[in-house]
Amino acid sequence: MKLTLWALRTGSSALGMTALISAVTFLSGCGGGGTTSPSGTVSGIVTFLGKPVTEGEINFFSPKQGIGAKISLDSAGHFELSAPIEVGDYKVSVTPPPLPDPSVGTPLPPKREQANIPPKYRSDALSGLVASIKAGTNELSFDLKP
Amino acid sequence: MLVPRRRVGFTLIELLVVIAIIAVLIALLLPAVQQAREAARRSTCKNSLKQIGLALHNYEETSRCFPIGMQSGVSRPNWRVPIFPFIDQAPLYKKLDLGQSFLGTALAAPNAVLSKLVLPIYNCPSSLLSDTPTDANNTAGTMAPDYVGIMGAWPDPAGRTTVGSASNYGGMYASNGMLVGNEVRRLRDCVDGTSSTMIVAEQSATVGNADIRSRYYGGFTGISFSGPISNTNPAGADSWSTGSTCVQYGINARTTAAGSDNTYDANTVINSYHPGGIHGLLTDGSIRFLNEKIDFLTLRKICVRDDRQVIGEF
Repeated sequence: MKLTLWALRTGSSALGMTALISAVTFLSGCGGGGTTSPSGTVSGIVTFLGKPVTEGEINFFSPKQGIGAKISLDSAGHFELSAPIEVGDYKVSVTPPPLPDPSVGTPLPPKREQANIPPKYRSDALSGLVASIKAGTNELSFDLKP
Repeated sequence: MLVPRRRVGFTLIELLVVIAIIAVLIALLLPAVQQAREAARRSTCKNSLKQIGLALHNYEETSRCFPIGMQSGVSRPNWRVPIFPFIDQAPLYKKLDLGQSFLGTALAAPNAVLSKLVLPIYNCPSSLLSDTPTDANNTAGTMAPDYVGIMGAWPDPAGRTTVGSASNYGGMYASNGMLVGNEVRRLRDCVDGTSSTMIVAEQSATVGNADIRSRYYGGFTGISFSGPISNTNPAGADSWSTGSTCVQYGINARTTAAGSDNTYDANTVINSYHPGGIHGLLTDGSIRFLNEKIDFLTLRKICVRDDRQVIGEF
């Protein structure tokens, strides 16, 4: 700006114009850019009547935002999502460990019944478990009941 | 009388002005040049999708219905194959035997011609993913197309629970879209209007670091269970497929979840390397660039053919 004024004062209108154009070009931002929504890391524990659920997966799904995530439970019933997820309200379901990849001609392995994950918790529509994820760290605990 | 002395050459000021003007022009031009390459790739991608749209409509003209999205068993071809004659691949289509297997592990003559064959129309030029990924379930390396059919969206925007059921591998199958399993769709089935229902979408990028396009046993295979999808089918039966996706996760979702973490899953993510969104083919044949920030309910309404919900501008 100083340069512009100086140029105008000195009467060199061409230089003034150039300086003005460059000032406008360099000062005006291009806007936009990737605005990342706030997100939070998620970890916690899943228990069945107080005892840790040591085999299975925990699923998060936000029907409002269309965001999902899942992770296996470890031998102490703990889980920690590998990447932070966007803040929001999530429906939570707990499912038995995933089946092996299907292959043509190989029959499905027999269904393993897992008494410590009652059927209603396996679907996010029925489980009734919810998690409200906030920015920062989120420590959750879910106790399943028969 | 004094004659003004003619100056020879430029003054320093004039020189500086010229340099400054040139600098400003270059500064304006550079970003445009750099974006031109991606813009060109984007328009090639758009063109491919348009060709697919025209092919689907030509197929519809000939057969009075759209191709079946995915048919059972798994070895039978999905919608990507019957439109070959309409994407300038008539000689290839004539060569194929539709009764034989399309599995990437069991390609026998004459279908072995699909091994390592790249159809440019099924390829998005911005995509960094392999055109013919070869793995244990696709030893022949049949093509993994960058465009996926839409079999609907979940949860259903109209709240119906009868139009889908869970896969035993996690995720949801649905039949509220245009390219579904074991059923043909006609134009009259597109109740919401062809210009507000998506039929094919782009799926050409990684989720996290993994290539999870709908491409189990190669990109041309079918679905593992028979019968139309509903709340009673597959309902726990062995259910996996290739060719169409039920949109349960947003565009360019970065995390995998139930139904989107395997190439045989029902809810593979629609995504692309184009900055900020994907191309979508609507049933009327038009192409829309869908922003990844689109409201998820609106996206689901676009993917569903008969929710009878009002869609605003998108």
